[in-house]
Parts: sequence; structure tokens; C-alpha cells
Amino acid sequence: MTLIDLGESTVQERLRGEGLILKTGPFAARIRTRIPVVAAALMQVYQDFPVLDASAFADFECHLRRPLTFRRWHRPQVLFLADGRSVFKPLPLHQAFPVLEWGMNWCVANQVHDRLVFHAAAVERNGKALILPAPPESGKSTLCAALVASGWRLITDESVLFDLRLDEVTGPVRPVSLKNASIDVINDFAGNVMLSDVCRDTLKGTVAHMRPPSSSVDRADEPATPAWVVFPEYRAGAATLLKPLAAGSAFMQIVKSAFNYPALGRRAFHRTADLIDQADAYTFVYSRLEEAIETFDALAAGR
Amino acid sequence: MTVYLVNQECDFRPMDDAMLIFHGGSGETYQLAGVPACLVAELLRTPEASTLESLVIRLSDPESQPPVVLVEEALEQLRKAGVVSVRHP
Repeated sequence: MTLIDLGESTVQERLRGEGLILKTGPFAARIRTRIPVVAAALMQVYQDFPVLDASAFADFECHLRRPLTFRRWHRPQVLFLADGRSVFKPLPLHQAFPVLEWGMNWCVANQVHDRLVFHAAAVERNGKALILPAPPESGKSTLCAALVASGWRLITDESVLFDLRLDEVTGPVRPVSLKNASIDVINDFAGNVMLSDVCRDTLKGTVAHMRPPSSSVDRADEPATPAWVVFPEYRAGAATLLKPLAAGSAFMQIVKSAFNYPALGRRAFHRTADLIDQADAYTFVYSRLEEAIETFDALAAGR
Repeated sequence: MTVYLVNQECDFRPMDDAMLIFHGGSGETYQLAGVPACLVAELLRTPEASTLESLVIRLSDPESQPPVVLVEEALEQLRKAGVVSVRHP
């Protein structure tokens, strides 16, 4: 059963009642809210995602609600609660859907310790994973969205999960988060993508979410072998340049993106080293998406 | 032989260009490159080195790698960082 099978009114009903359990790759999140816009936004970008029975186990308990302060009468806000605990300060109510997305990201970053979790995007071709770790504003999500629109399978836009025993990566397949200029860039690059309604004036500027292709959602549980670790950097006007990166430097850079490296300690150290031993590492500077896609297509083809 | 950094046993992973060190006590990770990395690699594969000083003497062999003149510098860098001591079973 998927979200679109349920239909918006049933989704709304579940959100208001015992919760909607949404399966995103290896995780299930129970979402509860009485804020009406959330159901419509979920229908826009999660329509192909499986929905579990209300009695199923949920890894994350996510609740969006309006805080009970006087402010609710003149400047309404929204709170995100994970396991009943507020994890962000209240934000304007019109940001309810982005807040849900950030909240689910928070759950993966803070509650998952049975795998190594990197703040990175990952896409797959022929069973091989291209991992894109990068700080905000590096163009990671824009590049990820363009790769997905060009036929790469989306593994994740946000959290790469590296198994602690097997040399495999997976991810919670979720909508790709686009910000500011990248929204128009992706609309122009790939006219066939479905974006959520744009949400303005957030802490990250204007944001919209891209619906993952149904083929990526269907293969959400399929692991891939790490083959390339690429640190992208968008630089206006720059020539496309993919440059090999020494293993030691690649290790030190990707460690900065590991959410649970301190929690996993020695295991994280060795598994990160295993990952870097296994994959080829590069830095990548780009300004033109078409050239970027050609570069990665050639890399995947072994050219 | 076990190499300790600030009195904590460490894990090591040699990479093609560097030696990565995980310091269990603080959870910090260090990347050593160049001669300090060679020195740590030498420490790890030299069970007979009884002290850092004797290691330096052994490495002072003109045919040794890394080059002798830099071994003292490398050692000094590690000492300044307060990171290297060696203990033997």
C-alpha cells in the first residue's frame, strides 16, 4: 500500500489519529499532526512510498504540532517532536512540511547507531554507489537531483548509511531538498521533475523538495557497493574538474560528515578507512550541470 | 609493541599517502603525512625498538628510510603535539 493508494483524505485522517507510518528505505517513521498542509505536501512528494499498518513498529516517532503559547493567535508556529521531545525551536507555521523533513533528518542523524551515518548524498548505477559528502552550499543536492533526473538511482540526498559489517551502502530514500537558486536550476535542467510547493523565508532561504522517481523508491532496500567518494563544490563560472584525492585526505574530509563517528569510536575509524580503501576519492568543481553529468557518466562507464 | 598517544593505546590505518591514527581516549583522529607518518609506520613494524631514541639511532643508518635528518624533526613534531610514547610488553 502506497500513499497514493490511500488517498489524501485517508492520509489526513491517519495523521490526525494514530499516525501515518511511512517507510523510507530501512526506516519507518510514524507521523502525527493536525496541521492540514502536511498531508497535501506528503501527497506531492511521497506518493509512491509504502505505508505500513498503524500497528507496525516505527523507528521514529514524529509529531508536528502548534505550540500552546499566546503567539499562536497572531503569529502561529510549528514544533517538531521526536519521541515526544521538542528538538528544534518553534518555526513559522507555513514551514510545517520543511520542518517535518528536517525533523526526520534529525532522527536519522541522532538516533541511528547500528550503521555509520554520513551527511552525504548517494546515487547508484550498475550496483556501484557514487557518494557525495559535502557541507551546505556545496551544490551537493543540486548535483544529486540532476544525476537522478539523468537516470542514476537515488539512494539518498541526505544520509548515507554504511553497514558495519558488509561493504554496502543504503540510505533512506527521501525527497531531494533544493534551496534558493537550485530550485529553478533543476526545473530548467529537467522539466519532468515534480517539486513540492515552494516554502519561502526559512532559515535556509527558499526551499522545495523533489519527488524521487518511483523506480528509486521501489529499490529503496537495495544496497550498493561504494565505488566513488566525490567531494563536490559548485563554483560559479568554473570549468568542470574532477581531480583524484589522496586517501588520507579523503578520510579526514569524510569523517567531518559522519554524524555518529564519536558514538561508534574505534569501529567508525576502521569502517571509514575500509570505505576509503574500497572507493576512489575525488574532488569535483563544477558550474555546468550538463558537463557534471557527462563526467560522472564517463566515470561509471570506466572511461 | 603498542604505540600510545597521550597515554592511550591507539589504532592505526596506513593509507597510501598517510598514517591515520585513532586515539581511543579522546576519540580524536589524526592524519600524519610525510616523515612523521613514516616514523609511526616504522614504529609499528619494529618490535625490537626499545625506545624512540633507539629507533632514531637505528634509523640513523645512512641507508634507512625515511632520511635521517628528518627523523628527529618528525619526532619533535610528534612530541610537541604531546602524542607519542612507546611501551613494550
